[in-house]
Amino acid sequence: MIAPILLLCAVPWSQGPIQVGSKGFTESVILGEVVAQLLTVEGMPAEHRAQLGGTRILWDGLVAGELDVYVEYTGTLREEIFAGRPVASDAALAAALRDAGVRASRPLGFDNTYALGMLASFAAERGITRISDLVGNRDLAFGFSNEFMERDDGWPSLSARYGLPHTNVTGLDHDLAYRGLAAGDLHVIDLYATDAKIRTLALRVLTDDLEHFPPYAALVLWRADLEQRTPGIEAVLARLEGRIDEPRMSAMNARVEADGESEAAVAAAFLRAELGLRTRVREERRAARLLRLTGEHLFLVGVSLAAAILVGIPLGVLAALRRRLGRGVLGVVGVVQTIPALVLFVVFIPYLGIGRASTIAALFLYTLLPIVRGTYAGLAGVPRELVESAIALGLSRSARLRLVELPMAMRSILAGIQTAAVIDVGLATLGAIIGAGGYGQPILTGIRLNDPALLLEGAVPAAVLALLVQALFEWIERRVVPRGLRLETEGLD
Amino acid sequence: MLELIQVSKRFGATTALEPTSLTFERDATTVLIGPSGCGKSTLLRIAIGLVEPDAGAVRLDGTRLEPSTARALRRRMGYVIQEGGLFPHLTARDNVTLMARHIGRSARDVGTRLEELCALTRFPADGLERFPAELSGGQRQRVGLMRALMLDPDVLLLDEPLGALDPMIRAELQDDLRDVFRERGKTVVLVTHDMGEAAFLGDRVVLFRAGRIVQSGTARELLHSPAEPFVAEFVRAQRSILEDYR
Repeated sequence: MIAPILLLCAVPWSQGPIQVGSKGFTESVILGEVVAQLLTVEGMPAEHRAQLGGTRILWDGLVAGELDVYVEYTGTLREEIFAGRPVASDAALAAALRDAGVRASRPLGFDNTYALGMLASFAAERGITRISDLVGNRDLAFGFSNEFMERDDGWPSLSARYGLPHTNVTGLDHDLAYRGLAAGDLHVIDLYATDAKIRTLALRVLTDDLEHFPPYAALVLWRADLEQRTPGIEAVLARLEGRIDEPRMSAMNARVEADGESEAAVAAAFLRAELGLRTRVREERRAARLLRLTGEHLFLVGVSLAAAILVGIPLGVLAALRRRLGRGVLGVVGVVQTIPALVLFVVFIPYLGIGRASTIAALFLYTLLPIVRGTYAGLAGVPRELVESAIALGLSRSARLRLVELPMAMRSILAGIQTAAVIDVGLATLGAIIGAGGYGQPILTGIRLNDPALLLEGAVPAAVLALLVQALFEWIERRVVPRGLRLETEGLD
Repeated sequence: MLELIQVSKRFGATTALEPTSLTFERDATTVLIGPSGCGKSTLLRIAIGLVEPDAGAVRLDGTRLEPSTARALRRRMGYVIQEGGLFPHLTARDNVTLMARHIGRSARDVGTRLEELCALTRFPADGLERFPAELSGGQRQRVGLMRALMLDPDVLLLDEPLGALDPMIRAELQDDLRDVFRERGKTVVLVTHDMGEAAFLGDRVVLFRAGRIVQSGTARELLHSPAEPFVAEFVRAQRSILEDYR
C-alpha cells in the first residue's frame, strides 16, 4: 500500500538538475556549493543536496545514481571505500573508480589529512608537541569522530602504531568533540588539517612523527554517464583542479564557521576571485526558510503517519481477531521498534535512494507499533459480556466490529495514533541526515557550526509542532470518542 | 418452541453440563435454578449459541442452531444479562434500537415499538437520551430488557437479570418482569439462584445440581414433594430467616 507513495517521492530526483552532494561538515558543504554554482553558471543546472550524513551515504548514492557529483578525499577512497583492495597507486585508484562507473578530477590542491589536536595551552603545559608524546600522558581523555574510531587508518591502527595506552576513548560527533575539548572534558580529538577551529579555538596540531596518516587530497567525483547526459562537464569541473590550497580552504572554512557567512556566499566569493565567474546566490530569508522547512517536515510526517494509520489499524484489528497471528504481528512490529532509528533511516537507501522516500519508509515503520498496539489493546479490552451481548443480538462479525468494538476501542486507537504522531514529528528531524529536509536541517547545521540560534531554529518549531499535534489529537478525541465512554471513565457527580 | 436435545458440555476436566434434554413451551416461563456452577447458565448460553455444546442439539421451532442459522435464530431470541450488558458508547435509545436499525426497520416502526416497550417496562421516556453511565442499575436493567424485546422475539432468555440490584428495586422489577412475561406467545427462560423469585415468576422450576437436573415441576411441587433430600435442603436454605420470627 505504501510502495506507490514512496515511488512517487523517489521519482522526481532521478531526472532534472545535476545532483551535487556534500557530507555533514563545513568544508564539504562549501565545496559542494562551489561545484553546484560553477555548473549552474556554466549552463548545467545543478542542485546541491547539502550535509548528507557520512561517506557511505554519499558514495552509495553516487553509485546508485541518486547523486551525480561530490567532492571526496583520496585517503577516504583508499582507507574506507576501497578498504582492503590494492589501490595504493594513483593508477590503481583510478581503475577502481572506473570499475564503479565513477570518474575523478585531479586533486583540487589541498591535503586535508587527519591529525590529532589539543588546546595549545594545555599541550604546552604538558609539553606535548608530537603524537609520540602522548604515550607518557596516559591520563588524557580522547574523543574521536565515529568515522575515525572505525577507519583503517583511524584510532585502532594509530594506537597500535604509536603504542598509545589510553583507555578513556569516546566516539562522538565531530562538532561535539570540539565542545568537549573547549570545556576540558576531552583533551585530544581528531581533526582535519584544514580545520577552521585550529585558528578559532587556538589548537595545537600534533606532529605525525611516525607518518601514520595517509594523504587526503580532495578531488571531484562524478558518474561516468554524466558525461553523456551533460557533455563538456569534465572540462568545467577540471577548472577547479589545483585551485584550492590549504590556507585558502582553511580560510573559507573559517569564514563560515567563525564569521558566520553562508557556504553559498563563501563559494560565490571564491568563484569570483579565482575563476572570474559571477554566480547568483539566492539567500533565503528566515521566514521563508521556516515556511519551507515546515512544509517539508509536515510532508514527511503527514505521509508517513497517514500510511501508518492506513496499515496499522487493519493490522491491529487482524491481531485482535486472530489472537495467534496477532502475537506474531505484534512481535514483528515490536522488533522493528528496537532497530536504532539511525539504522532504519539508512537501510532503505539502496532501494529508495537518499531523501524523502527512505525517510518516510523509516518513519512509517517506526510509527506503526503504537497504532497497531493501540488498536489491538482497544479491541482486546472490550469486556467479554459486551462482546457476547453483541453476538446474542445477532449482529454479524463485521457489524459487531463496526458498531460496537471499534467505537469502544476508539480512545485507545486515538491514543496510539497520538503517540505515533508525536514520535513521528521528533524522528522526522533525522531525515535531514539523508537529505529529506525538514526541521532537522537547521539542527544539523546548528550543531556543525556550533550556532545555537540555528539549532533552535529547527528544535523549537519541532517541539512546537509536537505540542500542536498533541493538542490536535486531544481535540479530535473530544470530538470523536463517544460521550458515553468519556462519562464512564470520568464518573458522575 | 425451544428444544435442547441431549446437550452436554465440559470445560477442561470439569463437567459443566451432563447430557440434558429440556423443552420450553410457548406462553410459559421456565426458571432454571440451583447453586453456583450447577450448569444452569451454561444451558442458557448453549441455547443462544454463546457456548457450543460438546454433543446434542438446540432447535427453535424445528430449526437446528448451527453456524449457518445462528444469526437468524438469535434475532428471534432476546438475551438479557446482569446489569443489562449495555454498550456504554450508545444512549439508551441507541442500545435498544441498534439491531432494528441495522436490519433496516423503518424509523416509524422503531419509534412505535420503542414507545410500547417504554410503557411495558415502565421506563421514563426522558431517560432514552442518557448513556448507560447516567442511568441507575434498575434503569439499565429495563433498557437491557427493552433491547432484548425490540424485535418482538419468540424466546426471551434472562441470565440472573436482577442479581445486581438492591432489594427494593428488585421487588419492583420482579412485578414488571411478570407483566412482560405474560405478553402473548412468548417462551421465557430465566436463570436465578433465588427460590422466591423462581416461585414468583416461574410456571415451571427446574432445579440443577452439578450439571444435571434434580427435579422439574412447579415451585409448589418442589416445596411439598421434593424428589430427593437435596431439593428439600435447597428450598429450606432459601426460606427467609424472618419466618422464624413469626
